[in-house]
Amino acid sequence: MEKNLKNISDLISKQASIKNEEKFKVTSATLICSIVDVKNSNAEKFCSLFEKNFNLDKEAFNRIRGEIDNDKLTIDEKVHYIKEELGGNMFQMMQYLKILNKFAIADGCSKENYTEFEKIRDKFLKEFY
Amino acid sequence: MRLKNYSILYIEDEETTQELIKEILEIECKEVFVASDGQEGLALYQEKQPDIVLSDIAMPNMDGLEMSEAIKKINPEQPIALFTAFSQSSYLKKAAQIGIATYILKPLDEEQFFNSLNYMALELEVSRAETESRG
Repeated sequence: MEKNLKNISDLISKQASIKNEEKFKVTSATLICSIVDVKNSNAEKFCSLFEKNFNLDKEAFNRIRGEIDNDKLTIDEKVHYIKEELGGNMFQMMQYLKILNKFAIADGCSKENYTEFEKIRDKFLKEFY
Repeated sequence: MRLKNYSILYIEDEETTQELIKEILEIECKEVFVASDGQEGLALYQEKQPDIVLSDIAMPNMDGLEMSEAIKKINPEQPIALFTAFSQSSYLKKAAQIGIATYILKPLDEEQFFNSLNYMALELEVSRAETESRG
């Protein structure tokens, strides 16, 4: 098993089953945006977290940010897509959720952010509880 | 439920809440140890080495954050969850700095409570599997 993967970028590079890297990044970014308000809260801090976690330069980050605005998928659809791309593997999903958790608590954490994270977490893992 | 394989140390100073949560935990967990403040919790942690630590924040003698910080110094990988109403952001910033990423929302929702504990049990399994695979 892969040792602890610290960011989405590592996870993508180790996960051969991910067919479309860009789509995976955009879907993950929009999922994170449903947990934290990237634009209105501490934008600079989240920008740097995004860059680190997705291995993005400023230009790529801005492109993904543009895609976020056009997002049409529901949370269930995003979770379903990411689960499939991770091969339904519990260990990979745990690594993925650890990264989402980092975003949820990055800015001191609010009740709303954390509750949203919990909902997403349980959509991924409830079958393993 | 995965929790059946795990022991829990639960720290809470408020007697009625302590009794209620203890009863719920005893149904689902392998073993439950209970302490009434951070000092007692830390001593019990060293004695029993539980799999999961679950603590209130505001307590006499030593609060949940001080205790968690001391536990993380002993074992940085120790899964710890804190009960919180998310009313004091300074506590939560400190908790994140200590390395605590799991919270149990007050007032307690029993289903969500066990979802969070089961998630911690999964984290523990993953972390133990990683340690084993590294030999």
